[in-house]
This record gives sequence, structure tokens and C-alpha cells, in this order.
Amino acid sequence: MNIKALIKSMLLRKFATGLLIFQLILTLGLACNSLLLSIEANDKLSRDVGFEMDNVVAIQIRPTSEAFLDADFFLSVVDEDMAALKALLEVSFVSYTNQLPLMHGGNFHSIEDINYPEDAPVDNQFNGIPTYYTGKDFFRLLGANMFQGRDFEVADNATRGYLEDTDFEPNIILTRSLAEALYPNESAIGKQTSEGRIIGVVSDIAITPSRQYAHHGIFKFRNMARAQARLFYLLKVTPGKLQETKNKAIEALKKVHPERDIRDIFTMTQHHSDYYKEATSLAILFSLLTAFMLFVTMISSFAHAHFHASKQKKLIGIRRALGARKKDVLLYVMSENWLISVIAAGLGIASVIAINMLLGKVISMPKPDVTSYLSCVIIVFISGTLATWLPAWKTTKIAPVTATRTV
Amino acid sequence: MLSMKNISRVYRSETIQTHALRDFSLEVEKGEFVAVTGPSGSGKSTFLNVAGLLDGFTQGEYTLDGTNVSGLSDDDLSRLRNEKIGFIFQNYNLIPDYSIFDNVDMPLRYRGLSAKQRRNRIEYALELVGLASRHNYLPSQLSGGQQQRVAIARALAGEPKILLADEPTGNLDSLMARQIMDLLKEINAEGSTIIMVTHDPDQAREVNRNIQIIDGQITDYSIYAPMQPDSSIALDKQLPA
Amino acid sequence: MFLYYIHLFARNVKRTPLFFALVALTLSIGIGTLLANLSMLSLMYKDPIPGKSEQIFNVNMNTYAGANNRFGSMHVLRYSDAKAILDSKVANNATMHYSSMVYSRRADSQDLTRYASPTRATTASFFDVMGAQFAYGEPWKNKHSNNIVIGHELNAKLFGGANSVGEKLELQGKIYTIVGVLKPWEMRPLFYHASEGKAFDKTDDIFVPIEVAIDNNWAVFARTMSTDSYTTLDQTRQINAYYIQVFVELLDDKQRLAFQTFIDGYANQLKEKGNHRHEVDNRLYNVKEWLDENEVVNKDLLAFTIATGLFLLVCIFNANSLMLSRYQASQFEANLRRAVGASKKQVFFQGVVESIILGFICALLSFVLAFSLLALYRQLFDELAPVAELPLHMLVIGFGVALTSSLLSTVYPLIQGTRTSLASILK
Repeated sequence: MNIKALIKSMLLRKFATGLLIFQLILTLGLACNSLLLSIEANDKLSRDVGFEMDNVVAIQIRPTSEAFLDADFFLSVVDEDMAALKALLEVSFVSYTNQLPLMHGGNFHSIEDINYPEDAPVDNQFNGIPTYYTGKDFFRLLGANMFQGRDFEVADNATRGYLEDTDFEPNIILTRSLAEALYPNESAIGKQTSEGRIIGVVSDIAITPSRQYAHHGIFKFRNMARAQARLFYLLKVTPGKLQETKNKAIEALKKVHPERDIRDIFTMTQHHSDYYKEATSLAILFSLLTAFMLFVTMISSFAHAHFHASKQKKLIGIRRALGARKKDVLLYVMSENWLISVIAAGLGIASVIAINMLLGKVISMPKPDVTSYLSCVIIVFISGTLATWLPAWKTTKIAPVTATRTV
Repeated sequence: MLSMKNISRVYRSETIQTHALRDFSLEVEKGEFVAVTGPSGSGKSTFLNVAGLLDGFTQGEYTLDGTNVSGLSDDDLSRLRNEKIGFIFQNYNLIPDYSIFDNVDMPLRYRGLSAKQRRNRIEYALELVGLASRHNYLPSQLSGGQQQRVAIARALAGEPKILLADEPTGNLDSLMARQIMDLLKEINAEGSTIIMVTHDPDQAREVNRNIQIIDGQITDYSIYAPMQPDSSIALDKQLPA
Repeated sequence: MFLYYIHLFARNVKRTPLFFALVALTLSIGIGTLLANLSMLSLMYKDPIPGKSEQIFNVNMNTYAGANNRFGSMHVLRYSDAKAILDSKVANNATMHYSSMVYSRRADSQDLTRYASPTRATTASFFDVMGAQFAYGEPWKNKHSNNIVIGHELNAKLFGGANSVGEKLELQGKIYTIVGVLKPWEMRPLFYHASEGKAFDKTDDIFVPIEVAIDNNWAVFARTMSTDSYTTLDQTRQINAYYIQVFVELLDDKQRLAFQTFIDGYANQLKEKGNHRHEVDNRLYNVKEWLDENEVVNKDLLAFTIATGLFLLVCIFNANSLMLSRYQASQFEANLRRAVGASKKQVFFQGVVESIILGFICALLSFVLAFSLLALYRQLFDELAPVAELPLHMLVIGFGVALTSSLLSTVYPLIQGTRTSLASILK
């Protein structure tokens, strides 16, 4: 194969060839960045959350009647709800919480050891810690294990204590990361903090994965008992009976008291994918765009090869007359596409970096790496080859006799 | 009708200058049928291109039907081509997926004629070349001779002052070539001026004037007796306005 | 002549339908995706209150009583600070509010169905500052009365759109009298509550005097910060609970300076009294600045729009090279036309007409595509659903983009086409 001849023939169509190379470069740039976003989204989704998501159903419920403004009434209905849900055959555990793991906004508190000076600023990592008000069996339901100390017992229920005194000091459980950060090199169990006494440390669960201290969390055995506060019921359900149980649960709750708004009912698996929806959606959009772009670039490769070949009919005829085999002609047309791809692959690196920087100004972008770049080069290469194959194959049909025709 | 005085046409490439026409002068009167012969590369085609306003010239003066073409804009040149010149090409140059009718229609489209006027002219021109019944045929459904007749009809439909034919019979067998020659002679007899490039010395002798171009210059200049129109073919129709 | 060109376009399409389909498809895909994104961005960048957006300011203060000052100057203020600003009357007009949600039903209704109603606890001045128009009635006169204003949608839901002034609603177990009904009120973005992802929420259903809402413990459905613990909202007037947003209307720089001087002085005084311990840092954001500060424009969308812009570029290049091929393929015909008397201009215009028609077709196709993409967006991004629309002015822009793209794809090939020497036609 004579590269010089190839380059010469490409120079004959500078403009068209230039356009195609430019297209390929941009396609590579976009494809590679899309791939990076997809990989990142996939990474996020497949990261272990530290609790069981399958067969856990969450129900967001809010009373609509003024009767629930009374805390005692509110709590009695919650007790009845818990009992009614627990009575369902398909349900093995029930609990409640003011917020779910994998949360964006919610209830945050600061925490420090009780002896920390009150006037001193709190270290950033102990400021604004997601603070959960949960019911009994919350950790067991989620399959989150105690790392140290013990789980909540009935006697730990701080609901009444808080209703009587807003400065009540409850027993609390911390996540392992938080406990170890707050009490490095010693056990946190038994320590008094600004939020209460630590009785247990639970193994890390994904609470705010999008933030820096993703596993910091404080747990209190407490019900806010406020009609307008957010409240979720959690159910652990027998595998395979999700939908059925959802319907039964709603029915059971309505039966306990009809004047409630079931705002949402979903599985933790759904909650998990919703949590990452933005990242996955963006990746989907970018992939879609990349697919469009590949498609468009394939059209270009096709057209480029097609018209180039038809323009060079006579030359190819002469080659055939002079003894070039069909294979050689095929290779000739294909290698032009390959040469274009190689040039684009070289320049594409710049476009990957440029697009990465451009997008990086707006959103957080993973840095490009060699593997993902090469994968994209291969994809572009293959799609270019596929698109060129048909016109190239057609070219081999040019008869040697073309060479001798004058018209 | 056509007057060229000291026309030169030089092609310049990076390395070479080619004098396709040099100091070329020619007068063609109204009603003449001129055959142009000469070896390949002698400048015949350049002459025809310049005469047909398809190509410019480097020096000299060219007057077509009283209009000096030097310095005319593309618009003016196009109008002159459209109104005064009819082209007949060796390979017919018909648009393959246009019907016969539409092919003949093409030049008329650029003249702002009404649909009725165009139809009259097309029908007349097709009748003149003997293809009146084949309006809707595609070129591929016709023989080579018939295709050339369509091309002649296309050239005639615009009522040109001068017909320029580039080896009109070059792609045809001798029988068909004969018919096309007869047709051209009829048209000439009607009063049209024709300049025809040809390789065929016999054809050249049939017309009333024969010039030979060698190396971009007219070298041989012979006038034959004006030919009598063949009385067996009577053209009794006038071209419609 | 124009008609003839259209006729020729039709013939050309018939001759190479695949080619035109490809060009139209590539351009439409490019334009459609860009259009869908631009539509959403245009709604996000929209001025929610034209004419007044330079005169309304969100007040941020740094009077946080705690040792930690993670948020610096904050848009949520204490009741006492908000009240001090309103009572001072330094600003031309001012309002304070917080976001709540109550379940509403007609007091005379027989059934117990209640509607979840987004609620704004605010002052009577709110409507004037925010430019809300009344269909019936007017704002409450007494800020301690159980009087409310309701929005158009709730009025339609509960009263079928009739004049409901004087009617009563039961909210949180108490009876409230409707004194005003708003005209349909769309504010996008919802700049009076641009934080906490509420920027594209609808305007509220119920507006209640803020004093009444606090007295009755209507919960805050937005960021609340507190250094003191409390059980009910009515305890928050005196303590350090930060949940109220303040907007002021300042007509010119002089008023703005006067107001800034006032709150700075106010905050300094408090600091001297030991009420808070942070550097005085009071900021005024006008509507646009406030929307920017809250990043109401979705960054993902912005990034994707950049990408679609690049994609359209690729589509134009693609169409360009296809066109180039086509003009090369049809060079014979163009030359023939010129030989028989068409001028360069005419051949050029024929191409332009072709390109314009193509542009129109692309525009129509891209609208279809944009609509489908917006439907996809509504599926993929919950928070974008309210702005996933194709407003009328974007259709006009779409036509513009389509025509420009189409012309851009044609212009080089066309010029190339008219440049070739005519002499070649003879051979």
C-alpha cells in the first residue's frame, strides 16, 4: 500500500476530507467524555451502600386531619400502624424514620463530645450531620450490623422524653466513620455527646454519598410526633411479593385511620436508582448523543468513500487493468478510511481534553484516561470501517474495461 | 453574425503556457453552415467554447450578432447564450431522468416564457426533429440518433441565431449520422447559422464553408458553393413566436 | 422562476431520496437536540418579573448566633431580624415569608377529602412586591386575622373558579376566610423561593398572614437553622431560629445604599450587644443575581447543551460534505443549465431555494424530535419536568437555526459548484 498515493488522493478532496477528519475528532471527543460519565455513573450505582435494598419498602405518609396535631393521638396511630403492618404475612420487620439513607436534604445536627467548649467552632466534619429519628428494628430491617455496643431497645425510646423536655438527652447510635472520627483510638461506647449518650456504633451505611463525609450519621430512637413533619414507614417484605404487599400495606394503613395522605410508596432499590438518577440520566443523554454522532459520522464516512470512489472510477479501472486484484482495490478504499481514522485518533486526544475542560467548567468531569480513549478510538474505527465497507465493496465491481473507455 | 478579430486564448498552469487560440480571426455570415476541422488538440474545442461564450478569451474582439461580448457580466453572457446560441453536443448531454419534453423545456425555463408559449415551442421543435409523439419518453428509451434529435430540438426551441455543434454525429453509426446531417442542413436552409466541429472530411465538404484549425490558427480556408436546400423536404412551418 | 426551483427541488428529491433523507435527518437530529435544550435553558434563564427584576432584592445576613458559621451570609433570617427590616420602612417596599404546606378543604364540604396545598406564610405586601394580580378581592388588612388569599388553581379546584371571596376553608383544624383570589400566576423561575430545589415549583396555593401561620405552628417546609431547641413554631419569634426570607424593593442606587447602610448598622448594633459573633456580612441580591447564586440553571443541562451545540456543528459538517458530494454528482446538470443560458446567479439561487426548502423540512422534523426529547427529559429529570416545554419563541428560533444550518451546509458546495469552468461541458 502506497501511503503517499493515498495522501495525494485525499489532498484532491481537501475540504471533504478535512470535514470528515474534523467530525471524527469531535465524535471521539464527545464519545470519550460520554464514556467517562457512563463509567462514573455506573461506579456510583454499583458501590456498596452497606444496607439491604431488596425487599425493603418505604411509605411516606402524612396525616391530613387536624386530629393528628395532638402528639398523643399521633403516636397512638403510629403504634397501630406498626402493629397493622407487622400483622401482614409478607412483612417480617417494620420501622419508621424521618429520613432515608441516600439523602439530599433533611435533618442535620452538629455533634461534639460533651466536654467540648461550647463557644468554640465545631470541626467541619462534625457539623451538619444527618440526624435520624427512627423506630425500633431500623437497623435490623436494613440488615445493617452493629459494629460496637448494642442496638436500640424499647427503653431507649426518647419520644416521650423529647415531648416533655426539648433538651432531653437520649441514647444514640453513630455510624462507624463518625464514631471513629469523633473518638479516634478509643471506643465511642458510653461517651456523652452534645446529642446524647452513645450506646452503639453501626457499621457504615451510605447516607450522603455525594458529600465529603458520606457515612456520617446520628441515630435516635424517636418519633417527632408532628403532623407536618416528614415520616417514612419501612417494611421488610418476603421476596417476590412486593406489589402485593404494597397494596395490602396501603389498605391496612387506611383501615387504621383514613385521613392520611400516602404521598409515596417505593422500594429502596427504586430509591437508590432515583438517588443517582441525575448522574445516570446525564450519562444516558450523553450516550444517546454519542450514538447520534456515531451514526452521523458513519453517514459521512459512507458518503466520503462512496463519492470518492465514484470520482476515481477511471483510476481504479486503470489499476484493475494493470493487474490490481479486487482485494487490492477494497484495501485501497478501506485504507483511506483507516488513514483518516488514524489522523483523527491522533488529533482526537486534543478534542477529548478540550471537551473535558469545557464540560468541566459546568459539571464535575472525571479525567480522561488512556483505556477509555482507546476504547472510543476502536469504536469509531469499527463504525468507520463498517460504513466504508459497502462503497468499497462496490468499487471492486468496477470493471478493468473502464480504463479504456473514453467517455 | 459572428465576428472574431485576433482572438487569443492562453491557458496558464504553474509550469506551462498553452496557446489554444492565437491571433484567431473569423467572420461568419448569417445563414452560413461552417464546418470546423482539425487534428486533436488543435484548438477546435477552444474555438467552440469561446464562440459559445462558455469560455473567455485573453485578447482580441468578439462580436456576436452585433453585441461585443468583451467585458460582459455573467448575467449578460448567460442571456446571450440563452437567446442567441443553441448547443449540440457529441454525447447529446440530455438529463437522463427528464422526459424528452422536459429536456427540451430546460433552456426555455430561463427565459420567462409562459407555460403555453413554452409548450408551443417544444411541440414545434420536437415535430421538426420528428419526435412529436414521444414527449414522455426518457432519453434511455430512444436510440442514439433520436437522442441527438432531442438535443437538436432543445437547441432549436430557443430560436437561436446560431447553432454550435460539437461533432454531432461522432457517437452515431453512419445511417443515423446521415439523418442528423440532413436535419442540420434543413435547419440551415431555414435560415439558421450553424458552426459544426467535425472529424469527418466528407461532412465538412457537404457544407458551404470549411475551415481548418491547426495550432490555434486557421490554416486552410475554403469556400464551397452555397448548397441548395434539398427540395424533397419542405419546411412550410414558421417557428411560433 | 421560484416555482421552477421548487419544482426542480422536488425532482432532485425524487432522483436521490436517500440522500435528501440523510441530509434532512442529520440536520434535524442536530437541530432538534439543540432546540430541546435551548428551550429548557431559555425557560431557566427567563426573567421571572420583567421590569422589576433590578429593583427587588433578596436580603442575606450573617447574624447566626452559633459558633459555627458554615453558611456565611444566609438567606434565612430570624423572625426578629426580618421584622426589624420590615418595621424600619427603609426599603420602598418589603415582604417576608416562609414556605409551608397544609391540607385544605372547604369548610362547608361534606366529604373529608383534603388537598395538599403549598402555602406561603407572608405579609400583605407580598403580592405587590412579587407582582401577583388579584382576580377577586384583595390582600388581608389585618395581619393577625384568619384571612387568606388563594391561588387560581386552588380556587378552580375548590370553587370551580367562581368568586370565592368570603368563602371559608378549613386548614389544620381551623376556619379561614378567603379575602382574595389571584389571577393565574406563573412565575418561572420562582425567584421568591429559588433555594432547596424549589426554583421551578408553581406559585403557592394558599397565602396566609405570617403571624397567623407562626401562631398556629404551620411547619416550615424549607431550610431551617436553629441554635436553640424548640417544639412549636410559635416559640421561634424570640429565639435564634432562622427560616424567614426577606425581599425588599429598592428603586434606585440611592435607596439601595440607604438600605445597605441600615442593615449593616443594625447588624453591628446586634453584634455589639453580643447577639451574634460574626463579621457583619449583609448582601443584597437582585433577582438575576439571586437566581445565579442559587444556580437555578441546571448544570447538567448546560453541559449537555454545550455538547449538543458541538453535535449540531458535526451535523452541519456532515450535511456539508454530503452536499458537496451531491453538487459534484450534479455538476453535469448545473453546467448544462449554464450552457443553455442559466446564469451563475440563477444556478446559485436554485441551490439557495433548495437549501431553504430543506431548512424548512429540517425545522419541522426537528420540532418533532425536540418534542420527543423533551418528553424523554421529563422522564429522566424530575426537576426539569416543569421547564421541559417548547415555547413559541423557540419555534421561531428553531426555524432560524434550521435555515442557517441548511444554508451553511450549502454555501461552500454551491460556491464551489459555480466556480467550475463551463468549457468542460463540451467533452
